[in-house]
Amino acid sequence: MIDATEDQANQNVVQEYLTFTLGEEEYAIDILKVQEIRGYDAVTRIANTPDYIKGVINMRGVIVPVVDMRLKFHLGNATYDQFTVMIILNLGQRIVGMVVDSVSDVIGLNPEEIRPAPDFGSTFDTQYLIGLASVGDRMAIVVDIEKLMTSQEMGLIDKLSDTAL
Amino acid sequence: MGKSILTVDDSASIRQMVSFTLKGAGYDITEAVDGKQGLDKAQAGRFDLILTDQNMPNMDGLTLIKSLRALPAYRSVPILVLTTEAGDSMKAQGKAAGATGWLVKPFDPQKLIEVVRKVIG
Amino acid sequence: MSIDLSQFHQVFIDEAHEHLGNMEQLLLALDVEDASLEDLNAIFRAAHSIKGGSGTFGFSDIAELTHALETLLDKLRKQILDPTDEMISAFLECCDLLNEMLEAHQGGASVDDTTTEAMRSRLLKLADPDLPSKALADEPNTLAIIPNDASAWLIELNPLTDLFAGSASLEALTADLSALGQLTLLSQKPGSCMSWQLKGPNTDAPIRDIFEYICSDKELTINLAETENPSDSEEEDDGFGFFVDESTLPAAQEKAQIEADNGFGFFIDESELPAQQQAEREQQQGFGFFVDEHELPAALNTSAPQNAPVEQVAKSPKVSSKQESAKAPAESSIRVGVEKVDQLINLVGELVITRSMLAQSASHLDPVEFEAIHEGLVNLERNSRDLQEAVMSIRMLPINFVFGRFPRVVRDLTQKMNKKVRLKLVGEETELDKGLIEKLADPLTHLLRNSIDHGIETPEVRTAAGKPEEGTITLSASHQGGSILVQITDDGAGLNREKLLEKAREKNIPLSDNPTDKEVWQLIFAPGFSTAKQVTDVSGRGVGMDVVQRNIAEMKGQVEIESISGEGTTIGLRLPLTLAILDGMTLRVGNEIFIMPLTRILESLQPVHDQLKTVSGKGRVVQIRGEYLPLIALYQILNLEPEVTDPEKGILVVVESNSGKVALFVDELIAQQQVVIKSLETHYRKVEGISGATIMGDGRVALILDIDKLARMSISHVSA
Repeated sequence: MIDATEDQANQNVVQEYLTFTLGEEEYAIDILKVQEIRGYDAVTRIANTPDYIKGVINMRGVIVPVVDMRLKFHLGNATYDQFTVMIILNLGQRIVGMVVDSVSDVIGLNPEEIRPAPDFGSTFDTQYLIGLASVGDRMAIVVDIEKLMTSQEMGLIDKLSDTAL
Repeated sequence: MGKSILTVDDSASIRQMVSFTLKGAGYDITEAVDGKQGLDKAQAGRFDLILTDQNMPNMDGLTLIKSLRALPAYRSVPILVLTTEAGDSMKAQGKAAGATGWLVKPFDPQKLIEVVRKVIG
Repeated sequence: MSIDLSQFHQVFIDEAHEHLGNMEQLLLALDVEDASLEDLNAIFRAAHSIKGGSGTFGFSDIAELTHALETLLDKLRKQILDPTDEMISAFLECCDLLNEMLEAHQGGASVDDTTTEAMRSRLLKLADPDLPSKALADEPNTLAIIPNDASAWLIELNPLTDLFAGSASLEALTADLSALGQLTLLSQKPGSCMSWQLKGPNTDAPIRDIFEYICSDKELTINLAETENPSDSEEEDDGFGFFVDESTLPAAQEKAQIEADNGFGFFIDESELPAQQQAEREQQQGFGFFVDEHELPAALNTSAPQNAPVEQVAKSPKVSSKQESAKAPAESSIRVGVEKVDQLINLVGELVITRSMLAQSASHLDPVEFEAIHEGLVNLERNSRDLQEAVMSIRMLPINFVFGRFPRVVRDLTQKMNKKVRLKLVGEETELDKGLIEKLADPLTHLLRNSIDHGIETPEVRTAAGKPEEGTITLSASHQGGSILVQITDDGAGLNREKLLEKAREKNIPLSDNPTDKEVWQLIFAPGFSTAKQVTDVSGRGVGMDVVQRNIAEMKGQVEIESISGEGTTIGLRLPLTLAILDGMTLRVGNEIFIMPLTRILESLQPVHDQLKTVSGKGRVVQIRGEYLPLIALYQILNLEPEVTDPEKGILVVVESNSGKVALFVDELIAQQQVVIKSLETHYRKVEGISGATIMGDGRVALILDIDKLARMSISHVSA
């Protein structure tokens, strides 16, 4: 791809991000954390969990939880039809499915193109934000999806294992 | 064809070490886990050299040597005793049983090859 | 050619652990009064094997200690000494220490020298009671280590006085020795034993010269490093060693002498050896092959696959003939990592699921037109079921893997508490999943301790009660249908109903007005509950029994207690055969499918109006044959939308939970089905009331109900 030394690679090389929309907002996450994108189907409910935890699905024999980001962050309409998409994230040891309004694009961003996020004005707590980036005439919020998904706030992991992360 | 050697030892690690070392030196190795199995395997095949541990369950090394010496096919095949006991009585017993020689454990692989070479080349 | 011995370390360590395990078993079974020679020989052989291997693979500390162990054992098997309890204890502790040392080596650490030295001296002292302890330290260390070249000397200094207190300086000595060659300090204990390895000099004379002014010959041992035994090297021509008595040398050694100091020799004239001349010729070149060189790569290739640790699954040379017969034939078994087996189990699980998906899709196909497909699916089902069973059986191990440790536990505890207990093991060959075996160890140990501590009375009390002085604890295992029952039975005092009730009142543990024995016995599992008058250091402060119950519940098992005052107590653990597969009942609530462990289901029924009652403060109950059982509506607990809310229109499933029988109200029971248990926690977390998940034939996930938890949840649900 790019003939550069590792140092350069770390500093200047364009990283790819997957962008998706939640309501009016556009978000970008590191594409290396994305395992696949699939339709929303056959989710088994889990009792006594917050509404945004939709349940679990079978990903080739592995039981994976599904989170609806629209419900979690009160954005967009939480409807489920054949157009509803799920981004399957691979976060190190864990796999999580994430329901969003739509998946838009894969974009390349240079670290310099990501500007620090303001302290306010975002739905997500700033601790999960990497920054803001311009995509054409739009603005994408770059999210540290691993940090967000493994946070206490999402309630996807037991407190004990949480400290291990 | 490499010469074939039967190594009889109840310790898997020693057996593997002997086996690996001698295979590396180009010999064909057959392993047996005790005297009884050693005797069976010796009778089932032909070996140019037999290396045996002294202390083993089921049949010890000395009994194995005596039994082998009673077989026409093994009357003159060299047999070395691998032993941790290098005392006189072991040597006397080993000789009386019909062993060709002994090698004291622990030994290093190089030494093993050297001795085996001396015996069968 | 140099050979990396470290590749054999793991095999050696595993093997040594096995030898130690066998040794411990044999030691525990040994009758000190009338020890069988066969057993003593077997114990000796185990120590001997460890010594041989540890020397070869460079674990000199282990070799040193096992040498002392072997020395004592040798005297026992030769009947020079008679075994004593003291010796057995020393042996057992030595086994523990060796296990520790092995683990330390595995982890790249090492065990404190003083501990091993103390054990070594203790064993040598037992081997030679007349030896003054001072002399023990002087026992020549007969350890042999592998030198990198032939002229490595092992120097041992065992000073009778503190040599370096006076004019002699250790630094000067070290410097002098270093001048002769490459010096390595092997061990140093100030004021006592020191040892070095020195590579360089061709004879020991220059070394002796250095020591001449420092100590007497008696305090010094110098050996060629690969020489096994100093008294042996003694006989050789180099003149090192002490106790010469040449008359004892066999005549046969004439020829061998030259080579004997190299650690090997021949009983026949060397010129008779077929390879002699060739070998000598080749050795002059320093290196050579004995086969045609073109054959060598092939020979090397064949050696590669055999390199894998293929070995006998070592079964101990056990005491009973029954186990002897179970001994696996050597070399017909292989050692495989558990993760590989688990991967296999997972894949087979996937296969089973795929098969049922296929079967479901094919069910609409015309049976005549698609006869071949239907037939194929039937075969596939049979084959995959057989395959699944075969794969599961790989993980099955005899329960003796955990039972085996208890004779030791009992021995240690009874000694500590001055009680007399005989441990009887029954059904040790019963097989269950390896994962369960590992998890059983802790709870069983705890229960056993409890039986000895609280159950079995002291010999005086027993005699007074007309019981045999020696108590009996029976540990048994058996298969019962789809589960395994492990029982600990003691013939002790039994549980005391009154005391338990009193304690419950003291601790404000709620109880029904007229509790059944079963309910009372369950009290011992309450956190912080202990009936022992004195808190002992053995079974502790009553933390534990609740942990035991939790552990067993985690294994999807149940704890049952039976006790008769004055006659004893039986604690039964009922466990599934495996953690990977569950015999389940699928049921439906609304649109959701759940699995319930089949073994927990007592009956299912459609109640009539008269059977249903509402008890104030306790919610609904159902009367079944005179018993009132709490009615738990699954849709309420799990917050679901049911098809029916009236129990008369649905189904009640009566299940056995550890808080007693309860009736679960569901919409419909669907079918019995074996399911592969999957963890929810791998990618998610624990869910209350759910013990796991599985994948159904249509690829959807179904959750497995945790009956005990649901029962408890419903109690808090009602009281809330």
